[in-house]
Amino acid sequence: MNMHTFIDFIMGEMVIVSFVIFIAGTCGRLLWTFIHINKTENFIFSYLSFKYSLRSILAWLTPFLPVSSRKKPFFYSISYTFHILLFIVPIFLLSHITLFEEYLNWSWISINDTSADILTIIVILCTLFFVTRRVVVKEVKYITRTSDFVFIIIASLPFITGFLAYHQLFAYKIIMIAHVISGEIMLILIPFTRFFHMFIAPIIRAYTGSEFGNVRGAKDW
Amino acid sequence: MQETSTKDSETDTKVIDEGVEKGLKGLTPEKIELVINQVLKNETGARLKLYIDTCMRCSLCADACSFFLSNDRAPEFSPAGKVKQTLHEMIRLKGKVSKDTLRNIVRIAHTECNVCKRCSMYCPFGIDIAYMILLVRRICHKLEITPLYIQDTVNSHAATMNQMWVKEDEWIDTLQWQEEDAREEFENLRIPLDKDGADIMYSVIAPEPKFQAGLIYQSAVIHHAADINWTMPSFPGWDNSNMAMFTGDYEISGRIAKAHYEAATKLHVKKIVMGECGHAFRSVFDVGNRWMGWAMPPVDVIHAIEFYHYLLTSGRIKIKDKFKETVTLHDPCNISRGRGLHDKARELVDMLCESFIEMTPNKEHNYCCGAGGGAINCGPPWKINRMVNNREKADQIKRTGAKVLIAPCHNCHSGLEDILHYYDQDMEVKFFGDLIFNAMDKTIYKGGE
Amino acid sequence: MRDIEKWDWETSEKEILVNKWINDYNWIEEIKVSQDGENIASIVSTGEAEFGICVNGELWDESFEKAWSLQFTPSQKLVSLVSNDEEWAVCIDGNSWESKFDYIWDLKVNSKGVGASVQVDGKYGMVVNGIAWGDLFENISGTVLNENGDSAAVVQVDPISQADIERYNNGIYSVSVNGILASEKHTNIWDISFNSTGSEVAYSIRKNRTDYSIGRNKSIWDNTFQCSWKPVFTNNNEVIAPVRKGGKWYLYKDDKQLWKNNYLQLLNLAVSGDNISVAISDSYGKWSVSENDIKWDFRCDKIISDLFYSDSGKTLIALFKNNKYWDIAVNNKIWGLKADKLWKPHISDNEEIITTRMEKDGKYYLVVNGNVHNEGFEMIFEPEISSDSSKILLKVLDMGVYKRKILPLDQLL
Ligand code: HEM
Ligand code: SF4
Ligand code: SF4
Repeated sequence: MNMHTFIDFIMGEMVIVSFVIFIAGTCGRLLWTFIHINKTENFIFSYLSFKYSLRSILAWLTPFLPVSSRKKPFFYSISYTFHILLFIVPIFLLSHITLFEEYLNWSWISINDTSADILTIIVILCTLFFVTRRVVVKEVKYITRTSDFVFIIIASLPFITGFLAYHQLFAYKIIMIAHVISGEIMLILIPFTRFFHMFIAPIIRAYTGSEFGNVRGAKDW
Repeated sequence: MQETSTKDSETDTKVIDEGVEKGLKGLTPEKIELVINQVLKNETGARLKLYIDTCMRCSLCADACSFFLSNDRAPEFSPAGKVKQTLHEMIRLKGKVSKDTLRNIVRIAHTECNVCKRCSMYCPFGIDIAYMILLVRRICHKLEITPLYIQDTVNSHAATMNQMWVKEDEWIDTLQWQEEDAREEFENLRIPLDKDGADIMYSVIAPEPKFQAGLIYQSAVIHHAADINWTMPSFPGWDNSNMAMFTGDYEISGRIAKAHYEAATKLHVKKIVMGECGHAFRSVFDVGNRWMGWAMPPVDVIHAIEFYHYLLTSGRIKIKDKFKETVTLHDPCNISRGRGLHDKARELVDMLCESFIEMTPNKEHNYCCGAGGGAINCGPPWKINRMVNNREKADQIKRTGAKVLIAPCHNCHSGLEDILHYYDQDMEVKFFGDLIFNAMDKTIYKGGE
Repeated sequence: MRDIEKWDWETSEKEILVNKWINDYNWIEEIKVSQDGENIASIVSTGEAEFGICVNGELWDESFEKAWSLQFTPSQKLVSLVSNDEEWAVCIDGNSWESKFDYIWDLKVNSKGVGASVQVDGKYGMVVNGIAWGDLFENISGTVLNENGDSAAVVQVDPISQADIERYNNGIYSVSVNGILASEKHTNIWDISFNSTGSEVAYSIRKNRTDYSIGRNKSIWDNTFQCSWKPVFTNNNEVIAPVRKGGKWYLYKDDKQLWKNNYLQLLNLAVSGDNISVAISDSYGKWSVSENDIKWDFRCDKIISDLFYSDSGKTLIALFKNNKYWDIAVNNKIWGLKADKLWKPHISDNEEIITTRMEKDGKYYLVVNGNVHNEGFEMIFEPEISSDSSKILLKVLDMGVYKRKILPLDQLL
């Protein structure tokens, strides 16, 4: 395989494969999760309430509504920023949209390149913050495992490589390939690693919110 | 262990508990491995997997825990840190846990967590750490290494269906004696025993007949003055407390709940009114019933706060003189976080007292009294640790500057008295019942007024 | 025995003024009514720390410092637990037993007589028809009195000091039948049942902190379980019991699995002839009845409090609560009562009439075959059905007057 066909592959079929694995894996794992709940602890369903699930999820999505977030405004600001940018930057990046337009003829609004560049730096700084926190804050350090660092690194790689690629630093081609691959790896890994927390978060929230609100008449934020 | 006058500032990890030691002696590595794996495999499901897989180890739960705060933010006391040292250790080692580790695990699970669920409100996912700690206790129960004193309490529950080895005749005799004494207040007062078809069954925890019979006197006066059609069972099932749910002895816990509800259905009452206890409320309302398969209480249960609130707002009890001294209120976890009764409690305070100072944090966010979750029931060997581990609560109370502390829960009551004493705070702890009894107009309610 | 035929089924209404008693005494306690409806009684306060038993307006000769647990026996005798000079006795129709105790409680009456738990000098046992057990024990619980007058209870055989969990684990409890130890010692024992002749007992045990089993006389089943409920004897003298294995409940007979299906919960075992019924939960928080392992189709979400067969075994009745209300299901058919309080019904000899009483919004009503009688009362006592199943004996309190009414069923239905 020569360089070109390889690049075509990772930017063509591989993208599709990654998305397919991501979507299928996510659906599969979610399905399995519900089957597992039903098989082992189906009593959970009798306490679930749509109203209180939603109440809890919305409360926790609202920045600085939960007491927990007010006690740690600095951390939560960073975490909210990080999580929001994690979606915004790749989705609204012009060069990503261009690719979509090329292949699928889909397009949507984009952010300009300078903003994207700044936001990317912010994401990278956020991940740096997470790493530092794991080393410095003793209660976090106490429960941190090596995999937590790996996890943050995997999450940050697409941004770091993207940044380098955009600025054409180092060997552009290699960096570009690394960027595409790291993005794909992350996508593929989502269903199979703790990245999956984004899908489980609302499920646990719904249950806790229902137990607190529906059964015990209390708030959970 | 005797209380010392010098204040310890660190948790003693070397406390010897006879119950734990005896249990450990009888264990083989094979048995340990077998029991741990059996419980993990057969008694857990999706919930545990989701919690374990999803925890980001961010330690946002740490600041929720009064143990963590009381111990100068020592990471071993953070909620996730406690799970790491206990449940995680068992999972990581696939059940091959040494006896020394087990000793550590029992201490943490039983005496360094009140299973108060406060951390669930600080974890952005809402992960239920208390559930995981209780799971560890379940394993300890099956390994028979539960701390001595709380195990003795569970033994009492199993044998007598009450927490304090109260014999059946002692129970009835106490009620009759309180009834007789309370005729000081109303000459025709009764504590109706086994009254078939009464509207309300009043249930208490066993320490009331054992040590605090005066509380039964007070509540008899309140019921009588309010002209309530009530009864108390003369037979087992009268005790609403449940330490088995805190040792992971779910079979006994379920049996206790069964006895309680069967007493209510046998007497054909509409409602169970419970005395001022929080853990008992949790047991009857939320835990024991579930093991039995009663998703929600089969007979309505209300905590004394709701009952008193009804009596005062409906005019069944009239308040003559409000309490003058400044009071503050401790929200017991199991009825605030556990039932959302904190607003009603404040309304009660308002109806009963002239001056009130909030304790902060409060309502759902209040700190546990430190005695909860069975911690106080682990008994004398652990008492100093409990004091040390609860400095945050003592500080919280001190900040209010109030002279009187209302604690509508037995566990909290005892636990708070302990820390007030230990931290040399001059404050009196009271139940709502005490306040109502003293402030009420002692005339009998006539309907239609 | 209840010789129902001899009761007055003709006089359509008799009255007793209870109002008057309220003026005669400091206070009166709950009104108790004999099954034939002819006698009503209450403990009454006759002076400071002085109580009398008032029957149809007449006081028993003796007065007491304390009296409680007043009840009528099936043979229309009136029994109370009474105390004078710190001594307790059973008093029947005004005559106290010779035998006195330091405390007496847990009064049980049936057609063969009267039994109770007693305490003498800190030792515990039972007394039946005036005769106390020869041996007394450290403590007593879970008493039973069968129709032959046999008594049994879980007794604590050995004393135990505070927090002696080791000794407790080794077993300090045993079953005593008529005062004689009838089982080995176990960590815990609960829920004793007699067989039909009273010659055998079955009970639930805990062997150690986590293993449960079923005991029968001096032996126990080989299988151990995670939990077990009250065992019951079948007509063929086999023992059946709900037991828990792997987090599910199974029905076992003589140490072998009896029903194929398992359930989330099995409660209230009822046996008649070859038929066995249990209140079951088959999905979390939902309750039904399974008869011979075949489920009824109704479901309720709160509780099934009583489940029982008629004498012939043809009728199976469940008393249950769904949502906020109590109701009855007869042979898988729901009545639809919406009661706030509801009592166990009576079944007529020909099984055509089923009657009980209920409370709704503070008034008490007669219920016959699922129809709620339109007249509400201050109180209704257990209704009775004539042996030819043509009349109902209704006993009510109405505006301070006790009324004994005979209602022809053809007018009711
Ligand atoms: C929309 C759904 C998501 C939710 C609700 C969510 C929620 C959370 C929560 C509650 C935490 C722990 C506390 C914190 O750091 O704020 C967290 C941490 C983290 N999340 Fe997410 N997340 C989501 C999506 C994602 C995605 C898509 C990624 C990356 C691919 C991601 C990466 C991370 C990382 C790296 C951390 C760890 C921070 C650390 O190690 O300290 N999250 N997430
Ligand atoms: S449940 Fe309460 S005591 Fe236990 S770790 Fe959480 S906050 Fe701390
Ligand atoms: S806050 Fe929640 S996710 Fe974070 S460490 Fe605690 S339990 Fe885990």
